[in-house]
Amino acid sequence: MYRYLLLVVLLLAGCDSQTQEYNAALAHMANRDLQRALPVLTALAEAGYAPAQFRLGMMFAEGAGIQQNLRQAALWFERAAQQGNVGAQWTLARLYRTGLGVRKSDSLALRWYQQLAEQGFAPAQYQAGMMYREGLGTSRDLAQAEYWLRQAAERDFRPAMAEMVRAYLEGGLGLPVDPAQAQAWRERAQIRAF
Amino acid sequence: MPLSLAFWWFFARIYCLKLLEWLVSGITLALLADKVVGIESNDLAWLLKTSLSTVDTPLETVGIPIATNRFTVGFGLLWGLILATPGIHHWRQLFWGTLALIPVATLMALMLVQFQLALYINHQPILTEVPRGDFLLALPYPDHLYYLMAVGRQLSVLVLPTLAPLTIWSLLNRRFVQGVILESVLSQSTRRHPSSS
Repeated sequence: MYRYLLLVVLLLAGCDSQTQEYNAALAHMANRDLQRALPVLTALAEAGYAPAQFRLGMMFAEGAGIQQNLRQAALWFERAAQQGNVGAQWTLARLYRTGLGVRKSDSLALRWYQQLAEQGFAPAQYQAGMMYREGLGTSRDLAQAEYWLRQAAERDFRPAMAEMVRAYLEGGLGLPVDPAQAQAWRERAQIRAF
Repeated sequence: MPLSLAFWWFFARIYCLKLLEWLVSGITLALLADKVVGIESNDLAWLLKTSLSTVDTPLETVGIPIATNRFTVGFGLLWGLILATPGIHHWRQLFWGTLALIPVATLMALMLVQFQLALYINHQPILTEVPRGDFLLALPYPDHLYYLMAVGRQLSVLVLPTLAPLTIWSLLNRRFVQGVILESVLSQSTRRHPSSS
């Protein structure tokens, strides 16, 4: 019993120290001192700390303080995404969509977008909706498209609201033409803009 | 009361905020270590420094402003109430009252910090609060939790700033409250309705 307790305490202590190191690296990044942040992030990423893997991936992707290397970035995103890191899942989906640093795959992009969408992440709900609407990485499915775009619009994601306006004006997404609904979504989008 | 509030505003507020900043920063770092990096303060507000990024600028982290005056106004109110109450134990009451108010003020600050963070993460306008335009790279809290945090926010900015000092003052001056205020209310009501007594 005590051994398990000790293990838990040690694990917690370990997590805490990783978080502290990570936060210190973030402070270096905020001060534009990327050269000091890089070794800390690299050590944490190699130790399997997902937030650091995502940041390191972003540094490789943008060439921030390091030579730009999209393939290396994608590798770090993949590792962090597998651990449930939201930023990594989102960015990896975008890489699969564009084919930068990875072999282009709409189905893999949709898989990551859908995973985030199901957890309520509005930008991914919008992307999933658009991919279902266009039939990218899957067969065209207007019901799914309407569902995800509405979810994103309900969370005030403005591009999704614009799609709802267009759908009600033109009868897209399998919806009937309904100018009143279109106007309601347009007004909501305008209110949220301020 | 005006003198006490003036003392709070011009002198004590900064020190109260420094103390709260230290407490809230420590507790927030312990409870929300995956999201919060620390708190930076100036005279008017705190900046809650997070480890979260936005969809558009994933390399940069986001700071969330937190208005702070409401956490500490309770101290001014409490001191005013204590000093306006007839009695001889003012210094003792000021000490114990202030000591009792510190955890309440800390809780108020924590509830507002938690709500502001949730507001930016969930990106859902609620009450009089509207989140910034861009989306954070974080999963939203479940709706019921979000609304519960909104209740906490209401408590911390509307209810507790006045109710907490009043309650602490009442507890410190139970005899005065019973002997003077309650007695006077009861005697007034019997004078109004003599037949009922």
